[in-house]
Parts: sequence; structure tokens; C-alpha cells
Amino acid sequence: MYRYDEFDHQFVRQRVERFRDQVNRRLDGSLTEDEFKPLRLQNGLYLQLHAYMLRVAIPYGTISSTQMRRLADIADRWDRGYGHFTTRQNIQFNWPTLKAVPDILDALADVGMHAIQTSGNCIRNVTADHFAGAAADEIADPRPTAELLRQWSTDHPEFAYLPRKFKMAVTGSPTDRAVTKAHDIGLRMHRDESGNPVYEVIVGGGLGRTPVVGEVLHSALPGDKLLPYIEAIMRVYNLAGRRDNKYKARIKILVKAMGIDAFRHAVDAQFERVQTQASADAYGLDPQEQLRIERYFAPPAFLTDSVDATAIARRRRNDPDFERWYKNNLSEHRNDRYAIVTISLKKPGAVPGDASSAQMRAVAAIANQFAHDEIRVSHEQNLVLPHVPRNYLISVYEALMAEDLATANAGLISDIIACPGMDYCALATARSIPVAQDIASQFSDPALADAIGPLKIKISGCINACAHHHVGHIGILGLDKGGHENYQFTFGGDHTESLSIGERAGPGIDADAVVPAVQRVVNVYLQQRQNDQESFAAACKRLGNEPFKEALYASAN
Amino acid sequence: MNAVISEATRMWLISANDLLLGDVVYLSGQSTWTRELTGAEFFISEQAAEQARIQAESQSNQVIGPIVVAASWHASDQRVELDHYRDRFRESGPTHRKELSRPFQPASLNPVREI
Repeated sequence: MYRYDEFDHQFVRQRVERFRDQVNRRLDGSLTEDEFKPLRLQNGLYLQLHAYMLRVAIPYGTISSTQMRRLADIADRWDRGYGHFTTRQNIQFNWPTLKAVPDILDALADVGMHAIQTSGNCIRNVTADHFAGAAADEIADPRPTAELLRQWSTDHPEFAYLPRKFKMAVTGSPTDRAVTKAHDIGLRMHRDESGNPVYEVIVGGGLGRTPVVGEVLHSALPGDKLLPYIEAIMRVYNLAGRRDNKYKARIKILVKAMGIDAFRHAVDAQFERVQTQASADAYGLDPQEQLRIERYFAPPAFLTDSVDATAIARRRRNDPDFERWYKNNLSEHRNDRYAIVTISLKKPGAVPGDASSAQMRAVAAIANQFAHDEIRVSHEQNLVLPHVPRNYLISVYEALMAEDLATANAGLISDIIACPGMDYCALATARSIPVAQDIASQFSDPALADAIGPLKIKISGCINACAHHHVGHIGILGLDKGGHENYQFTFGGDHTESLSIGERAGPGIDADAVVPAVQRVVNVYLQQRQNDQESFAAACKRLGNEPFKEALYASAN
Repeated sequence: MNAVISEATRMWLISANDLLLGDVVYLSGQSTWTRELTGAEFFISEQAAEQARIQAESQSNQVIGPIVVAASWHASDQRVELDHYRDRFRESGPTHRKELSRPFQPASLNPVREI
């Protein structure tokens, strides 16, 4: 993974000291809150319902055991012993005091981490496929691209005050695990006719108040043109994006207003100007620099021991819990001696995405001992060990069991994405977490969850859709209806490469009606699916949403 | 001045977030703040509460973002209830982790002040 060089270290330390000075000036009254707020937001510090919240970037979701241990230390020393992993592959600490934040940032800088550009109208943390560098179907590791974009966009003076926040995601696999079509810019690596890796550039996707599926702006952009082309997109948006209405300020609104062809024409014109105005070096196109970045993402020295398949098969036969974990939480690795392990942070009844400091340390220790020291944070609010030798699977499972981290539900109905909702968030209109806890508890029977199969429930506590509810197979949106929490459902969303926005079922239902409603919807699916191989998503496509809508309102309210 | 109030009387108070800790506080006097709803100052006029909120804006060295919060006094069981669930969650703390919740105790009524 990428390691800071001297410049990076110096840059981050300077930012910490600058923020320490800004905090001191806020506390002595030299800065008003209006003056201070944009400064704290640029350093990831929000004010939520009950406390400050510090959002720490985990670029493209890649983190080492040393960094994970430091997050645990921060949780214990300056917070309340836990952290919350988010759908943008960040971690949020919910209880820091204002005075402590510069010290926390200092502690992060020690291990090559920061909170820069995790808020504000700038280019945010660049996300990527959480199986990057490990997935069996991968064309190329997307992380060097994401790192290049991170370095280019960090403190970029031209794009520090965009019309609105800006999010990018990169995938190097045909299977899209990074939700690229729901980002301001999504990059999908594929091969052109000559076999060279190129980028499909998708623009104007997004969820929130106006959910839009991104459109293809360029179908095969060569790698050496990436930065000038992205710069051209940003310039068009920066100049033409609306600044008079925050609800119409995202690039998706601009693309819709202009039309994709006119937008492409404007980008092409800027692209030509960018290329003629600047030297290649100004855009990080120096092949030496690209190689330097790529070297950091070289695969680990994979073990070459032959796999003891007998021991694994015996454990699978004799231990049904291990068998479920093996079946649900393991994914195919590019090296057949290895597996990708998803560590579910969704034990039924637990808070989706929360990890205690003890759990963080346990994951760090397991990664260090068994998995080449690499950990990933997924946008699905789980952790991932991307490189686990198959010979260590039993040891990894047992170590995870010891810390209550071996919940075997990855991709199942209780693996719910939920935003913090009104338990923390100042923007929320209703709670998300207790709804997720109740649904997951309702379906906590492993046999039932297995029988239901893959089903993505995503719950947002407001229209900003941090939990991606629009693209859930079942999406749930919490709203305030006349002073009561009320939940609207969508059906038929799809978060993958065939991304689609779910259809709103109709009026919302009361909070205490949500779990019975989900149960009725699932019952209809179980009754009407063609066989146990037909997933909920497939059944929705075949049957349409009507049977599920009928079930939703069968006896609601 | 103290006011005579009846069952389910509407009232208002001022809430904000503490500058240092960020936690929820309530205006308890001219420029004093409390973490306990029981210590809050209640207004029987929304206009008076709004005036107090505007004055509280000047206390930005102590608090951030003062807002007017509506509440109801229930005489039968001698308690104040914040009207909106958002304000109730602000007062109680996160609802899903009991160890993080602020202890919610039925609030007794404090003297009502009119500005």
C-alpha cells in the first residue's frame, strides 16, 4: 500500500499545526463560529446532534494493521472506545472534544493518515473496489489510479471551493463493487481492442435528493490522459455548476441540464485547452512517478505452500457455523491458494459499521499474523482481509470468533447498510440504526437468512441517502411526517454494474410497522420465487414490484 | 416572573451545543447553560424565547447554534416533554446504545421567565 514520502509527511504535519492554531484562535475568541466552521470542515470536523464528529479518510479503503491499531488507540484515548465505518470507506469518531482534535490529527499523521477533504465542497476521499488487488475477476488494481487522483486532488487550489462536494470511485473489475455509476465521476477499467487497460469514464451519477444513474462520458480513455481529462471535467463543473441553490449544485444536475452530448463537447474543449496549456509533468504524467505509485501496490509475496484442502473440508463437514462462514464470507481470490475474507460488522442487533477498539485491534493482529498486513474497509460497512492463505482460514476464523467477528452473513438480509441517522446526524429526519438492528434481529436465524439468500437492505435517515437506499433491493428512507418517524420503501434497486434506482412503493409507514412489513415482503418473495436459486433481486425483475408493494401495505398502520 | 400554567401547557426553551464538548446544553439564565433539561429556563411566549435565542447568539464563546425548542408541561404527572422527537433524542443521547445515553429523568418545571 502507499506510504507517505517526506513531502506527504511534511504537508500533513503542517495542516495539523495550522488547524491547532485555528482551534486555539476559535477558543480565545479570535475566530467566530462562522469563520471557524469552513476551516473545521476542511479538516473533517463536523458538529452533530450530541457532539463533534471527526471523519477520518481511509483512501480507497486500504489500511494497514498499524493504522488500524492507531484508530483503536484514538477510540480509547479521545473517544468512547469505538468507531463507525462508513459507506465512503471512512471512519467516524462520534465524541471528540474540540481541544482534542489537533492531538488526534497528530496521532493520525504519525501513521500516514488524515482527515483532510472529508467534508466541504471539494473532491472527497476517492473510493475503490474493496477487493482491489485481490479479486479473481480484476483487470487491473484500481488503487494506483485512486492514489494518483488523491495526490492530484489534495489541496488542489482550483477545486477547493466547488459548487458542491465531489465524489469519485474507481473499479478495475467488470463486477462493480464500488457503485461507480452513483458517483460524480466513476471510473471503470477495462481493456480496449488491443488489450490495453483503458477507463470508461462515467459522470453525473449520484443518489441523494435527486437520484441519477451516471452516464458514459468517455468509453475508452487511455491511462496517460486520465488527469487532464478529469481536470477538464472539473473545470466545466466548476465554471458552469450552479452555486445559487445547493440542491441543484451537484454535477448530476449540470449534466442533466446540458445533456450528455453538450457536456461532453464542453469537456472536450477544456481537455484540448488543458493539454496545450500545461506540460505533461504538471499533471503527474511522468512515467517515473506513475511507476513509483504503482510499486506501492505490488501484490504481496504470496505463499506458495500447497493448500491442505482436507483439513478445510473436514472442518466444513463437522462445523456448520464454519461452513456458513466459509460459504457466505469468502470470495474468490486471483491466487487459488488464497481467499478474500469479509469480516461482517453486522452481527444481528449490533450497530452496522461500528467496531470497538478491541475488535479493531483484533482485526489488526489477525491481518498482521495471517493476511499480509492488509485490511480493507468496504462501502458496505464491513472490513475485508483481501489476502488470506487458504491454509490459514481455520485459524483466521477462530481468531475472529474470539472477538465476535465471525458473523456469517455477508451479503445476506441482516448485512444491512445504515447511515448514523438521527441517533447522531444533525441532518437526519429519522433514525436508521434501530431500524436496522430490529430487522437484523428479526432475521437472525441463520437457516432462515440462508434460505432467503442474497438480499441488500439499505436504510437512510434522510433524503441525502448516505446509506444508498435508492440502490438497495429493499431501500428504506426515514422521514419526518408531522412530528413522527415515517419510513418510505423502494423496491428493485441495484447497486452493481447494472445499477438502477429502486421504485418508490408509495406512502411511508410508521416506525413500528417496518419490521412486520419487511417480514411480509420477504414472505412473498419466498412464496413466489421460482426456486431457491432465484434471488430477491431476480424475483423483483421477473414479478415486478407490485406483489411486494401489496405485501408492504397489507396491514400496515 | 412565575406563571400559572395548566395541563399540557406549551412552552419553549433555548438549546445549543457546547463549544468545547459539542454536547447539548440548555439556557438556564441570562448567560448560563446547563446540561440538564431540569435546569433549563422555560418561556411561555415563543416570541420571548426567540428574543432569548437572539441574545444567546452573542455567546459564541460558550455555545454554537442556539435554537428555540418547543415543549409541553404535563401538570398531571409534573413533567416536561420536548415536543419533537429530534429534540427528545438530543436530550436523551443516542437511543441505540444505552451506555451513551444521557440519563433521562422526568423534568420538573423551572421558573418561567418572560423577557
